[in-house]
Amino acid sequence: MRNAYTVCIALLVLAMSALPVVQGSDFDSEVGVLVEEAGKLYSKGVDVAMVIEKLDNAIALYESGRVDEAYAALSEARSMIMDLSSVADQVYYYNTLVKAVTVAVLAAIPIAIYLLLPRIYLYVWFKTRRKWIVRG
Amino acid sequence: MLLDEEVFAVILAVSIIASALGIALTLKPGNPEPFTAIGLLNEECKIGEYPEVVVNNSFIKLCIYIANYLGKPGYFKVVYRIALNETLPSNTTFSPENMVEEWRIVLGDGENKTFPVNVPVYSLRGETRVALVFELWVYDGSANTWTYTGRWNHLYVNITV
Repeated sequence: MRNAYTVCIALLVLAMSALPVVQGSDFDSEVGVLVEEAGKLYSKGVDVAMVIEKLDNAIALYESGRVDEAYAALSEARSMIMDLSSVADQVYYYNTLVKAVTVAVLAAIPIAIYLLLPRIYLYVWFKTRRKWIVRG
Repeated sequence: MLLDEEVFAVILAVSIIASALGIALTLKPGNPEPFTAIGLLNEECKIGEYPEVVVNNSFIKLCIYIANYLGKPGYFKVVYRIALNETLPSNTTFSPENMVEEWRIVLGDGENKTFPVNVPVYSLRGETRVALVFELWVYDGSANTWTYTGRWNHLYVNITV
């Protein structure tokens, strides 16, 4: 029975090592969460370039051994995300409105051409020939 | 000449096609085919002229290029290992060799970065021909794990004493 447990555990460890995943550290976890949050804002059309730059800066500090400064930079990135979150919905609605108006204008172009082109053409045609004299 | 009906029909058809194309481009999804990329460059951060012979237990300078086209920002790391022909990574599994170094980076959507690295090179299990492997991993925030992207680069070098 004990041997069976040992074999099971050995198989489990083997299976886990075969999976292409590795557990992240606490720092990775914090950066990962902030990147996910930035991703949500990005999907709403918010410009997150400053947040990305700050996170990258935090990683550079962490890798150079300046851990306290790295966590301070993460805090700054977190507060930037919170600030951006408050305007994210507005940006999303604005972008949606712009998209809707763009589609409406594009859809109206063929209708406008169908209705207006013959009239405009006739108007221009007559305008350019109004001084013409017709001789019988 | 008044507006010919056929000319008018052609103009109308062109406008309908242009309008449909414009609407399709406006409503298309942001990134229909997300992907990441990693590239290995020489000391001058250019393709080609890679070192072929390296003294055992020395360092060589290379450059690494990473690109993010996942449609969202990503947290990446490049893992450096020294491997043999039979322990190279594949599209689904990373190399079983020990990690020697790693570099982390955050990239926005559509961004890329090239950075220089100075990596140690040594003989592995007495072999004189080794592969310098650079694997690209991405952090999965929802599962709190690093996931191998299936992208890697390797450079074979001959080791001399």
